[in-house]
Amino acid sequence: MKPVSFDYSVPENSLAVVEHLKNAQGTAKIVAGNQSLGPMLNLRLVRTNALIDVGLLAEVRKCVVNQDNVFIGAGITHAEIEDGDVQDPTNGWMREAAGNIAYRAVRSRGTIGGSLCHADPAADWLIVLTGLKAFAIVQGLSSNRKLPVENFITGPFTNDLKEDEILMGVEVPKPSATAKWGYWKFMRQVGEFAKASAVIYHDEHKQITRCAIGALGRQPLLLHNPEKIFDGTLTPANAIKESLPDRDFAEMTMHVTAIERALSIARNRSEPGK
Amino acid sequence: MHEISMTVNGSVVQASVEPRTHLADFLRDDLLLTGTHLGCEQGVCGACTILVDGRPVRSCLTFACGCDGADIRTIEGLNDDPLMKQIQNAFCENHGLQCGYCTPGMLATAYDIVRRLPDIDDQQVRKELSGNLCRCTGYAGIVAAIRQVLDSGPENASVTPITRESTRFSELPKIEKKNPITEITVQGHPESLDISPEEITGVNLDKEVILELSNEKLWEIISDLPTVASCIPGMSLESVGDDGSVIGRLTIAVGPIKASFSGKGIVNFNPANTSGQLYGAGTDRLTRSKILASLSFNIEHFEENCSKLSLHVIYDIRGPLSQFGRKALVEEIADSLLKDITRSIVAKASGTEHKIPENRSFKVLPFMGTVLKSLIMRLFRQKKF
Repeated sequence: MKPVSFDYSVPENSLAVVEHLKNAQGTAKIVAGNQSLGPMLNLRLVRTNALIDVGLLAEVRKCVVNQDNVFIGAGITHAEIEDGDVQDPTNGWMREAAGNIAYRAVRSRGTIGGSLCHADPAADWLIVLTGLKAFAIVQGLSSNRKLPVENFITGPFTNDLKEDEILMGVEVPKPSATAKWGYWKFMRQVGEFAKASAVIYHDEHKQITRCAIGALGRQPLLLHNPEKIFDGTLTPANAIKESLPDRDFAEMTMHVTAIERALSIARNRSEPGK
Repeated sequence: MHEISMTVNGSVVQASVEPRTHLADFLRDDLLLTGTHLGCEQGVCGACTILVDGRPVRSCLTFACGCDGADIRTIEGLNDDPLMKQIQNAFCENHGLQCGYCTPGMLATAYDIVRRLPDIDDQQVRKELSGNLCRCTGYAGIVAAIRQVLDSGPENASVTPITRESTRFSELPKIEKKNPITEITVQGHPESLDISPEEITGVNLDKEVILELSNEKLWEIISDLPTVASCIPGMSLESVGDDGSVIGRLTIAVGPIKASFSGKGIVNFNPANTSGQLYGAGTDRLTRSKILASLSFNIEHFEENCSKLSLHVIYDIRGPLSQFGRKALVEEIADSLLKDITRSIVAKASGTEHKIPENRSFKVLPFMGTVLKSLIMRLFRQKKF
């Protein structure tokens, strides 16, 4: 139950991180909170030659409030979001989601960027940030790029980062004052990974409606015709059948209920801050 | 070795640690602070919960080398803390402990709860305690103890969250020509197969796939084990026995997890109704995990020049890897793998090669691998006929 031996470094800035990554030629891993990678290392499901610790890296520990969005550094912990130590662009939706991730002792160290990069299909930030239409900010050796979160996650435990790139943070747009939001997840027990999850986001002013389901085994799936799901003309069951025609529908009943509950939350509550 | 300097229970500690030493081991083995208990060492049980920079953390998922400059507070360092004293008394009065194994972690969590959430109800107390497991007293006494502290007004906490910044930076040593760890080869003989397919129980998975191939042609490929094996990414066959047994290896990579299953299986082909069965067992020595699986398959005609391959898989993963064998995940990987395999089979039938994209998230999947292995085994046996 101990990891294999590895080298360890604490780079001074993000440029040093990508240089380390390049020099390591795929044999090093970035670590921040170590709450997902840690168990895998301890169990020796993952073996690495080196860890590059960015948990305290100033560039990923910052949070920048812009006019239309908030940049949240990849190294911001779930607990810091839960406690409101960084500004929540959604006035409470992200705080609430953060507070229901695993357990407080895990949230003390687990980070939003680490969770996205680890890309466990059942993780909260994957579906929440997909639902909020957030962007991943990526830095490479010579250039930066910005891509939608749904494109950043490319499969189970798989992201779009190249060998010498690092996720700097996420850019979360600020919803309009009248926007609606609902997030629901099923867990067999508090703190466990979700068995099924769903988000609905409806921002009439910005003309954005999104509905996604998570814990599928793959990255969260944005359903077709989210407007119709929100206004009730398309039932969650039919929406799932439409977007996932190959899936055995009987296995999707928890996801159907997750959408129904997310819808109920969104309709009955959910102006930012309420 | 890595140089660190930290404050442990108020005293400065300087040490040289191996990077892989986690904080709990460092505290217990080097500093002899054995009040911190270790249970699962994978972040589930909460026994090792201590306060780092004033926040509760899992000391088994925190590397000592990552705590340079940190303020560490273990149960030994809270003896004079009025709030901890109050919580400990409440635990005593409410039968909040029995064997005491989970208690240091429970106390650290309880400390955080009463300090951070002074107004919560019992339901929320239970939710906040969910990350700490107790296997003897049960939780009623623990919840009652926390309730008592909350109701009587918690004393002031001497330890509060602080934010730490990095002050010491380090470089990675020059990478020597180390082989990437993912390429470790597993030596040794697979264990003998002493199970029958009926004994294999576990998760059931059904898959159907339509191939642009006549069912005769598909049967021809599937019943030729080496050919089928070559269509499965990460699969290699080592030997085929006269009794329909097959020995092979399947290497799988899902995200950061790598596994290489070495195993044995039996294949039965039934040419009369173009169906068959494969079952077997495999062991991955890297993750010390085991897989038992059976696969039944059936080929049917489906429209003109097309055939339908139906697969029914039962798998049972044991050992560390089982925690990542969630059905939804396995299903997704199976789907992706199946796509690659069917493309390869179709390409093979038309005399071309299907190149599997190198950057795939899953090169081969352990579970599916077993299935495929089974398939291959069947094919081999068919050949024997």
